[in-house]
Amino acid sequence: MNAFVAAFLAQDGVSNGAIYCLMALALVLVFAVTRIIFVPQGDFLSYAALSFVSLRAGHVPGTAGLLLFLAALAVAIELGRAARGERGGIGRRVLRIAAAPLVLSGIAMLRPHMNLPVLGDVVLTVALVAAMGPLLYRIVYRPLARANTLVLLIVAMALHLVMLGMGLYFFGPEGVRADPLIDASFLVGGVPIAAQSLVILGSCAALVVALYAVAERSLAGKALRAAAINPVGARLMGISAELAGESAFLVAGLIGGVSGILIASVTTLYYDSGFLLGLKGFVAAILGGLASFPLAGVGAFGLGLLESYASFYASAFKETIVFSLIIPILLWRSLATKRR
Amino acid sequence: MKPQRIATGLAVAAIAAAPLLLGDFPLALLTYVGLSAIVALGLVLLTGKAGLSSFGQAAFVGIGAYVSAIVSTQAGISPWLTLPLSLAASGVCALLGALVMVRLSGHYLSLATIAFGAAMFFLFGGLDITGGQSGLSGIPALTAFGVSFTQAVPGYVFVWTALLALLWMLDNLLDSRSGRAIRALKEHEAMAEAMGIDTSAAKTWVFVIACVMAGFVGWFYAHFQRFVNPSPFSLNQGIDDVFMAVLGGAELLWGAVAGALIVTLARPLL
Amino acid sequence: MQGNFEEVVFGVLVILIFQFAADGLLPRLRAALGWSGITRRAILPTDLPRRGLLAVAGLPALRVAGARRAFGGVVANDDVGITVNAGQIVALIGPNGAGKSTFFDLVTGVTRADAGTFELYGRSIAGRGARAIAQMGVARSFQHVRLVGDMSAIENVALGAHPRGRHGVIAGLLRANAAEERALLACAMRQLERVGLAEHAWQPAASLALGQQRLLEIARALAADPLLLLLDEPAAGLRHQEKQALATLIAGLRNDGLAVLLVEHDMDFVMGLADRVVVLEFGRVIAAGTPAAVQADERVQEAYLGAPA
Repeated sequence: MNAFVAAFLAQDGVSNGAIYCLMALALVLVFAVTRIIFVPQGDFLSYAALSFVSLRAGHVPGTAGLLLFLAALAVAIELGRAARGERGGIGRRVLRIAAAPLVLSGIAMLRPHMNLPVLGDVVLTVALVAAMGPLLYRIVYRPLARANTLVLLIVAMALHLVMLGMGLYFFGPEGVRADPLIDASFLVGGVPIAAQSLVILGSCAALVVALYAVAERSLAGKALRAAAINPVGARLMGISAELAGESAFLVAGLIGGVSGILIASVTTLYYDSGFLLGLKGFVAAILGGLASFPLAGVGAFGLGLLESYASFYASAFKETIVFSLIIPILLWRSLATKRR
Repeated sequence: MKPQRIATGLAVAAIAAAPLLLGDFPLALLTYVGLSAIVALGLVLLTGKAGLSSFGQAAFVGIGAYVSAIVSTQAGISPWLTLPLSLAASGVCALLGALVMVRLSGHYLSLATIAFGAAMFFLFGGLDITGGQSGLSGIPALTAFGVSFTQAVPGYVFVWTALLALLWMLDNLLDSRSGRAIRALKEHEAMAEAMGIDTSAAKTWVFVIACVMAGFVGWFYAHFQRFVNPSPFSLNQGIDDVFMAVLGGAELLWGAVAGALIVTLARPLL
Repeated sequence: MQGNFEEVVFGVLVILIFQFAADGLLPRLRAALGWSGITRRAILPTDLPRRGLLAVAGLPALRVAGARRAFGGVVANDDVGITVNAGQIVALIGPNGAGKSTFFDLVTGVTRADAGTFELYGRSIAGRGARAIAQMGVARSFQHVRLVGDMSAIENVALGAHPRGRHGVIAGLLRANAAEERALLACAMRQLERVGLAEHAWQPAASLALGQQRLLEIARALAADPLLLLLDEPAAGLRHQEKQALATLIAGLRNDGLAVLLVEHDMDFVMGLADRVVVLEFGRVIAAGTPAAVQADERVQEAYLGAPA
């Protein structure tokens, strides 16, 4: 391997690492707040990528209809609960559930008749995917508040199956690739650097910083962190576990949306591509012990680089190497936790 | 007579009557149900009884299948002679896995087995000796006294006899000194140690039993299909195996059979 | 319909089943039919081998000296020394956080001592793990009851006799262990009779009342044929009559030659039952002696009883 190849692989590894980093961030957040190992995180990514391409092509993506359906289902469940005599204020709660999905899917359905700039489609896509997060939490996970982590994980896998099947229905089996958000490249020390790589890295950094700021500064962020660190205590302080769960899923959807758009412009994505990317996000998240955001970030970039170089030296075993890696690390983390 | 006994008797009678009543296609389908049920039975023992989890059982099925497929085709040995090899290979891999497993718990264990399942799937598809993605074909059929077990009725009888025998054996085990120790693992590991129980050894046994059962399924599968490729040993299949155990009800051995029936038949029926 | 329709329906099915029948379908069905899943077996009078006759009344069973354990900067046990003789009940008392639980954990091998000698009938048990110490004859009950809820009471007790059996997994699978199983269950039944729970033998442990569950824990400990019995707050949460029955039971065990060390909060219970009382405060022994002497000790009154009530 010469320096040129090494630099090229590093660039590839870093862009992938940024995506894993975002996945890991979402997974760590969701796990910390809800104890759910959120397997469908990768499906958010696929949905976002495919919806974005579909919007750019002037079609109404299936996600718009799905969002409406989920909102209707959530409202129906809420009405059912109200009919069984649970607390009042039903009108306001229905509005809170349904308002954003209605508006977003409305915009998406009118999109073919509008002339939206790229950025408009980016925002719309991210919003569509993000809005699914809290709805999925309400519909799927709220009834499982008392379930153990294994059940939560199995349900996450079932939800992944559902999202995968619907993804095929909405988007078909064809792969898509979006135009780069910025189509340029320049030479650094003789190595061509794609502007898109920098966009990915920059967006990743911006998102991490923004989330960090929200978590540190805002009341909602503090409440979320409190719910993650001490659910019982947070409940005693009036922070509802449900609200915390919905918020975590909202952020997970948001991150999935952004990373889907970012990755769609560097690689061809299929309806089922997200799963593997999500799994690798897990590997990164595990490197961070499912708890530490900075460590998960380091893990993500390490993983991206490892994968990139592994694909050069032993391409047939790239995935095997990546997934075998986490077993010794899990072992080490588990021992470290026990010793405490 | 206890109602459970009657229910078990009725189930066994229905299983025995199936070859007389059903055609070849449903019997072949039920043979796959039986194979899945054996894998799920191992998971009932792991998850429902010992409180462990594994999403990598399909990989152990793969180990059993590939070992027998490779040895029987390349060395031209009868599948009956490769059976011990398949069982030993899955058992030894399980022993190695158990070194890690006894130290992991909760979601760490789930994630480790997910990673193992994914890693093994890609390994099966990446090695030359396993034929890569295209797999291995021309695997000899399992025969005895001129009967080929690739046929519907013999295949069904073989698999369901094995399944019933395993149900009987695991029922024996759980109703014994070692079985009580296993059942204490799920919620009270520290208590079990305080009772003088070697919990690491108990976990290792449980994992090895579950994986050898999976290896047995792989061995039969290879000589039933006479063709193997990586896809039936994927992580997704490992997840399906867990679905079977928990949907049927991981507290009960027969839950594995119920779960395998639901999961295997749901897809073609839907 | 294009797409993976059956995968979607299947996934939805899985989610719904977990939302409405978290244990899975068959256990749901079984519960609806009211089946317990416990098979009653005949109990035949056979016996397990017992330990040699180590227990001679008056001989020191447990001898601990200079026990020390610190967690970070907090010294939970500092130079604690306790001796329990065969046929004697020693009570360990002290305010919350005095180090009683830590001491229990040191003796049972759950935590390792920083220093100190621990002897069971002259054999050192220091530095051994919980399992090894249990096998040597130290049996215990837990402050928070730890029973296998869906297992019958008698099977829970048989768990205590685990080290007295030899047959392993293979024998279990093939049912080549019938004689030993009979002996284990007979032993368990005898312990249930000792604590007065024989008629509940085939009920799931979780279905028993808390008082009965505490007795079940003692029966399980007795099934180990112990040399030393450690009871962690056995009277907590019991009603008055249950406490009296428990005191009678423990006194009977003493008369059988067993060494008993118990941690207990209930002063009346301790003072009426124990032969010796050891008082811990801030990890140190501040008084030890007969119940009457300890009760008269000023430091004890100050530390533990607080202002005279």
